[in-house]
Amino acid sequence: MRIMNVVRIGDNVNTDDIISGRYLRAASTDTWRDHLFEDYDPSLLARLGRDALLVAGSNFGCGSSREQAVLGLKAAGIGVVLAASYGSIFQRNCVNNGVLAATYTALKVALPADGAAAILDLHACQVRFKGSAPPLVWEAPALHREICLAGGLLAYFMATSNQPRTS
Amino acid sequence: MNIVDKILEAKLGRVPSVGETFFLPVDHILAHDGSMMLVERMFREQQLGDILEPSKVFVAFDHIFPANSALTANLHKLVRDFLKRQNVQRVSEGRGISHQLLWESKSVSPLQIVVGGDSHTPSIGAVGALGIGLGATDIAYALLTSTVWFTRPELCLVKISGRPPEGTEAKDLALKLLGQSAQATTNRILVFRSGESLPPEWRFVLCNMAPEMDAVSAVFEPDGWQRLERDNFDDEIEVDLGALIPQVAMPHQVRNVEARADVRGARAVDVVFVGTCTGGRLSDIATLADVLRASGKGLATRLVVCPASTMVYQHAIEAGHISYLLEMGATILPPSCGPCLGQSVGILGDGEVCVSTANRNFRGRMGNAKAEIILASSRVAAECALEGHL
Repeated sequence: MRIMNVVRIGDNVNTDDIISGRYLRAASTDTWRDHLFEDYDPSLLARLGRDALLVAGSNFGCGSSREQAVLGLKAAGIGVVLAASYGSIFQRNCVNNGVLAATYTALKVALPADGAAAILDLHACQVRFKGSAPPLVWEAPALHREICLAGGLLAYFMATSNQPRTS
Repeated sequence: MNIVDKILEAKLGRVPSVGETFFLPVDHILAHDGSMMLVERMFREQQLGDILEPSKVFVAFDHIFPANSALTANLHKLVRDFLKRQNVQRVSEGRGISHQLLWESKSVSPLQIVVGGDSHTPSIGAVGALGIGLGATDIAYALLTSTVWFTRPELCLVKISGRPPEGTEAKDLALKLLGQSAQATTNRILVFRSGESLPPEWRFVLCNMAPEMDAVSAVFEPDGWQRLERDNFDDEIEVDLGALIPQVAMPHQVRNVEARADVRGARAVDVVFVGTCTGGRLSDIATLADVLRASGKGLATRLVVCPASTMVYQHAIEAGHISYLLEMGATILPPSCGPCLGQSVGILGDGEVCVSTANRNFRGRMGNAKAEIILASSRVAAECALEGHL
């Protein structure tokens, strides 16, 4: 169980918004972390950290396939994001990097305000927003969970592959 | 059976159900300097081993080429050395955009599966193949195993009837679909079916812009495709090409679509960009040159042209278009993604408005969050270059 602070962002936030094209060529992941959401809302970065729970609207991470968007979020400490829906490539990029990208149904749970406290229970796959009941419960396909739990797709590959590693 | 299930069945030996997740064997693996830079790092830092089938791999240096900085040049070096070490033979440096080159190579057959480290990989749906855009980790996994994990999405049939009126392009139809059909296309695979046989470029543009429609992919049914009994589509859109009129997508969302006639003159335009995997083919450059020639007028904006490939460039030279455009004052860039992604050339200034034949008009896309991008066909782009306004 972890207590998190909700950071709300809107609908159709694309991966150019998460990390601008001008920062994609970089020698280190720090670059992507340090410029997250710079064009979208430069005040967001200071609020991202291990205890930040990003709660987006619909179509979060649409657009470009750039994995730097997820690598930057992960480097900032983000391990869980919630959205009404995702751009399909961004959601896979999250899974592949062990970042949980859960989907909520707005009809079932009143969305928390920006800055609200949330209690995350990864084991039970649910999050409870302070002052709101019932908790939001997410489901993910078994393979998503397996990959996420392994720590990402390449860790999953290492764990499941019998191939000799030659170089 | 629909074409998507036919493709999946050939690989899996059975037809998967909607929402089912499985590992899918792939026929081609596509990447570019941008995605490959991340893949190379993964292989190096995590000692992943060897590419399983190098002959399936095609890599194009297209996003930033030639290099714009020592940093980029050094990343190119790492990728170049990695591909050499891994015995990847099909590598293009500066010969054009990956999607265009794969299409021109004619190496992809109908019903094959292409995965690519680029969101516009669905472009290859133009030949009746299934192109899936992915991130770098998925591409690394595909290189190691020749498979990717995939969840069978719902399908939406897009039924196209009629013939396009003079002066309209595939781009107008793609924008029209963007303006009206969010729910039907989101997180689905689109299957395009046309009564009339549409030109290859039309098929390419429609499949190319599937990601803008938030679709997982798109496949254009090949001519003569024999439909089998039950199609099992989850949704259907019908469009009549006969009623098509020019469309534009206003800043900063691709779905912010208006009929061009409704916004004509509404904005002063500083620069016109004709290029990219959506609008940088010979037909686009020919349309641009023809509209300019027919007017007899000079340019009222800056004009930047970036052919989608060396082949496109050569054909445009042979047809006399390049020489004419140079005389008119256009800037011709080497075959690449060019200014579309705002990473190397053609960055916009504060407050500037660009009319572009590309597929994305996100805020900051062309390197400056204080600039605006309007998406249009090559004909509308040409008219804007002459008139100095939308």
